[in-house]
Amino acid sequence: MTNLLIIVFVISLIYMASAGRLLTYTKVLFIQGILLSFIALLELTHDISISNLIFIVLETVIFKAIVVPFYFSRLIVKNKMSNERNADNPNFFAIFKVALIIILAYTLSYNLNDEHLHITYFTAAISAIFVGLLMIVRRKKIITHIMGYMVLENGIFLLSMALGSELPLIVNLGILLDLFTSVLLFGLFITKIDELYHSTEIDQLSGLKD
Amino acid sequence: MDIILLYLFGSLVIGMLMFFIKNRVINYLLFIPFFALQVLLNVHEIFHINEIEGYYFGGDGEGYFKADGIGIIFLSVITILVVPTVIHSYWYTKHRKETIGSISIYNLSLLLLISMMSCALITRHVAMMWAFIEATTLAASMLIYHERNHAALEATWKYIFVCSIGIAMSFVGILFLGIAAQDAKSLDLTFDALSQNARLMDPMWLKLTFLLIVTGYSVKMGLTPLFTVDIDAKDTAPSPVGALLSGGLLNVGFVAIFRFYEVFSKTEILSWMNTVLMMVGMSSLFFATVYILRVKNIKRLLAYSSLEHAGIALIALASGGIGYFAVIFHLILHALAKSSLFFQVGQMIRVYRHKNIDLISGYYKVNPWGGLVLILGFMAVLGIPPSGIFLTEFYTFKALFMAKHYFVGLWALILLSIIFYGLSRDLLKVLFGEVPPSITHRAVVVYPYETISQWILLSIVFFLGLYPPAFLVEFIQMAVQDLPK
Repeated sequence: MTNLLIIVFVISLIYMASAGRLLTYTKVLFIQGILLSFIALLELTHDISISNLIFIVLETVIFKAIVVPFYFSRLIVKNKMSNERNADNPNFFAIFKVALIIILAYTLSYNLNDEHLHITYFTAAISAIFVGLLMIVRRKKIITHIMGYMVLENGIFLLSMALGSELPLIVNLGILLDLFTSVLLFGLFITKIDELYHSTEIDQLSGLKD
Repeated sequence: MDIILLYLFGSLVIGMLMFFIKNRVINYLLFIPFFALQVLLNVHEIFHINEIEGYYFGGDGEGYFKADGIGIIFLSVITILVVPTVIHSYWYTKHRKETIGSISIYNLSLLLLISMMSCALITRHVAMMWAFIEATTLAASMLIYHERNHAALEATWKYIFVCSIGIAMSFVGILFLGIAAQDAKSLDLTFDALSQNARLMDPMWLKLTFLLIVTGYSVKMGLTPLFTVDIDAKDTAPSPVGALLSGGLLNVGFVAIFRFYEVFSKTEILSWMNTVLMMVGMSSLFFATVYILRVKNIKRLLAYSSLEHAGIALIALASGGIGYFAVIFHLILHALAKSSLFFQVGQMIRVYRHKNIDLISGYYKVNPWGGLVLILGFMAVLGIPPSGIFLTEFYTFKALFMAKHYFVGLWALILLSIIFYGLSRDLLKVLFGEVPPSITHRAVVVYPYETISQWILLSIVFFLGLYPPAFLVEFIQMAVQDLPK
């Protein structure tokens, strides 16, 4: 069952990388949040204390699946952001890139051959991290960069589950607080950038250089 | 009474008061109780050195805090910098005639930055340190955005985004460390437990962890590869904040890298780590040299000089031997000297209303006291005797040559000489020469008392270089005692 969910998660990565509409990204983030909360529920039930489990599942549902996607879709609609258009880098090729990332991640985790490593988890997590980075590097819109960051965070969440260990509750809380604040600040500053430059393309931000 | 809990809650309450009380005087007066808390924490940690504290919320009986030698040293540096930073922030906002709304956000963020840096230095849990360091990003971003213009917005966006990515990378490193820790049948991620178990862990995972940690925290220490956002931040942030970023946050980043280095130094990857640190240090030094020769912006010049010193610090750490002593001493002195330079340059920009050194000249005539601070400050960071930095750089090269890194040593000497030329050329241009006519028309009011804090900080730098006190040497030796001989 968990493996199936992880496979759906990986498919959502391919879909995300090939999509161009901003609202599609938020929908995929929502789906990924739901998937991750189910994976956490299934996988961690026997491993960790009940209080920690409730905390992690609630965190994933509320933060990853509800708050962040809805916050960003509101921002996109409010600021009337246009969709991602990039003639040099058609979305069609993105599918190949993501497929390549997944294959490489699988080869890597297979070759690591570590007894503590859950190959499926590790492949999905590393793929998500690199797809997030790919979105940040290749896309032009600032909001897409934030989406890439959230995909990267989802990958890290999956990786932390592959680990199966539990961080103490207070540490989890601190991490959640940090992520939450950074997402709020991302939203705040992207609105400011939109007000000041009347655009949210990253090419606008090229004033500071030596 | 748990002092650390008191400190955290006290700072939170004072911060909230700063945010809600819209009165200029009270807002600044609130820094007095905060400073009292900071001193209380610092003194408490000195008297409870190497004691485990902070048993909260179960946590399997593990305390989250332990102040060791290196933590206390850099905590004290931050405590020393609190008062001058607040005073210079007051002057800065006063001269810009800022509204109380922006002052209260500035003060709140400054307080959060200081308290998060302090906590990051004294925690003993890997993930806890991560959380505090990420929190410094958030506090610093509000300070960088303070001037609310195009440059500030751009710098803030780049800083917060690249920092978040970098810090996320170091979190991946921590997770890899967790995988490695399973070899040792222990999931305890405190530095003490890790250094006990490090020998049992798979070296491959430790190498991956170390690479990710150095890459991630390089954004905080201002090293290659992620130094660029740090330069932009120090340039566009108000000068007192630049002082704190160079004098406080750089050291926090170093401590984060140092703690992992200390843990892994007990394993077979020690020489591999030294190679990595040497490469990062040399490339930082190289980029600093290239940019110092060509930048015209005086604040960016100082920021690149911080990049240079961060690079030297890593080279010293990687060479071992007397380099261990040199690196800690070097960073203490650099923090004090560089922050006083940032304070002075902030005043200079206020007079000339420009950061471009082509438009700044004759500062010595305009403000002799400030000019003298600049001369002494540059002497200190360039390592001209009797500055203590001469001593630490001398030790660094001694360690390099004793470890038979002749080639690296030679290259570092050449790069440092070029930096020496570049910085002194720009300094002479700024200090002497004709005063621009626009300045003489303007009623420039410069008070000598505004340089007092810089004099104090610089005299500490020169005094420590000549007579390093026994207790400081003892603390530094305590900080590096666990490293391989």
